[in-house]
Amino acid sequence: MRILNTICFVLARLLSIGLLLYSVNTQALITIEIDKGIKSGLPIAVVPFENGDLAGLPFTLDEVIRNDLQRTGRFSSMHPTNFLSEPTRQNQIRFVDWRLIKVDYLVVGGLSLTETGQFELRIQLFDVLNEKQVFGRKFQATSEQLRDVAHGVADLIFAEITGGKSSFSSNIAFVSAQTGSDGKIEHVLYIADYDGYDPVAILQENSPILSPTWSPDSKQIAYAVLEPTGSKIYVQTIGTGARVNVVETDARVSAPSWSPDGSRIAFTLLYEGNSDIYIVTLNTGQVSQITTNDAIDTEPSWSPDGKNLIFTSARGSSTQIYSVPVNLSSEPQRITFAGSWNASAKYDTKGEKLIMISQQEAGYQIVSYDLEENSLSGLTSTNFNESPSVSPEGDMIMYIVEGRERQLMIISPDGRVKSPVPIPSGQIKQASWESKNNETQ
Amino acid sequence: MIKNKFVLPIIAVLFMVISGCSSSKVDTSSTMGEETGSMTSSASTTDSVSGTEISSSSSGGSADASSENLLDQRIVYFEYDSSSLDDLARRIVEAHAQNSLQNPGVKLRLVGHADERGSREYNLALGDRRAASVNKMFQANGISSSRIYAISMGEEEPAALGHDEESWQMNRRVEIVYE
Repeated sequence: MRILNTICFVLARLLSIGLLLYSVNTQALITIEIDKGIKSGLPIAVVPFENGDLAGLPFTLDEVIRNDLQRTGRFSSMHPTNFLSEPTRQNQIRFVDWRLIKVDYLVVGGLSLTETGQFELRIQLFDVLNEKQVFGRKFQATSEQLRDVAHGVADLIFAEITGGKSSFSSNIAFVSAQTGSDGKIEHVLYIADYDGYDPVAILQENSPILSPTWSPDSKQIAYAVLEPTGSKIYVQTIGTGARVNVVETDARVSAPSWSPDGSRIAFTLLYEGNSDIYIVTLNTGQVSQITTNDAIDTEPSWSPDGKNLIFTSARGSSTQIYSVPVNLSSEPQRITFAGSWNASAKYDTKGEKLIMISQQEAGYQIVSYDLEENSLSGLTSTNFNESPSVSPEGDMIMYIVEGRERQLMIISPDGRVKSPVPIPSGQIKQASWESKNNETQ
Repeated sequence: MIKNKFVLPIIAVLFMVISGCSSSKVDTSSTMGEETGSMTSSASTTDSVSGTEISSSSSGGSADASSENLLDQRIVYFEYDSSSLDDLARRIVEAHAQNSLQNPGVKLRLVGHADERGSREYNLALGDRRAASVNKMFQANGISSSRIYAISMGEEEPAALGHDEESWQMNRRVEIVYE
């Protein structure tokens, strides 16, 4: 199941890199900011686990689960200081204690050592109102795998209660820039757990790295490098570190976006001040031009069905989002009609909304745009923000706060719950969530 | 760079002529570009073209006194989200174009930049547009495209590191680099 995939992925990561840097263990300090003005999530209590520190980890597994559930905005994870009792087994639960503090769901569990030297995590989820168990499970893992197990448990809880899927076991890629010891700026591409944990550098460049985009099977990442003689798009295999330049051209290229079926990459080609959208078919290297307008066309992104490309264009009186069928059966159509300046649009997982940046009085904000209603709702309201990215299951959105408080953030799709994602060092530049991994479905 | 110091006076004279010729062009240009006010940042980086308005008239006076200073200026600035050249930018580019005509061995690299606001990819395209605007102006002044390499660095290499208009206007620029 999923854990096996996780293990393979972890192994692939460990093998991959010459640049293995370091992990951040600052997770425990995460502050999740909740806007209480709007309706809250389902109240859930995850009780600190029995022998929770058995594996000597710098975080607790119950805390990982609490944070996961909280970030989607679908749950309200109660803080343990509010608990009237701290049961770790079914026979210790007094449901009245939980009804009193208005908790709907209760998670208890514990860690133990097995005879083979592995750790066993025991988990039970209870429906407080009906006083009955929803599920109980045991997982065996090494200490290194326990965090992934906790994310997997959070995914299970989310699925059992909401009937939907969550992205707690997914990964992100991000680019940060830092000044090296020689005073030069180093640009580093990392992959990490979605919550920023276990960052691994997979590329270091003296030139800016732009627009990382994951292959649908999560085995490769494409990105652009702004080399002094021009920019190139590379596809890098995460497991081996090997990379290939996928667009043979003297022109400069950027903004790669991987198609949902994995066969093609859409990109922007810049030539004499004009930027247009192109597609390269990966196994043939064949390139086709998609847009021909004189104005800026950039930031292509695929519709979930792979039939259309949306992109940012300045062809009209203001910069807006347009859509064009990949088979060019019709002309590009403007699809955003609210907001004076919109860019960086990505479809949500259902294809009903766009997540993008929109110029507002208080700067560029992350907004959600309803394509049916042609209405726009703000997820952020302060600072300048950029680089929105939707989680594989659409349950969270990642973005970057620019300016002095530059920071990688995750926000719930309703904009209510915000939390920072810690990065190892340097200045966060861009981030991209893994796409939906069909193999784990 | 320019090795012959004595080409400068010639350029100055030439420039007077050229700038006289081009003044009508400059006037019409203002209609295609920004509706916003004059560029204070570019003004602040100049000497004798100095703090005063870069506005409408580019005729005579200041230009001939300052052609040397115009050549000292290697950066042209832009309004927000625009790739249009204002009067000062045009005069700077024209001065460098004349200098390049006098020095046929000179090759130029134009590097377009944008401020940090908005997306990195949009800013890469915008910087490219800015570099192309300057490139076109060079070509309009008789410099062969084979002598010019225009490139964008988007928002990646800010000249000023602040997060306010003062810094942003320093970052919306094209750098003219002699190679």
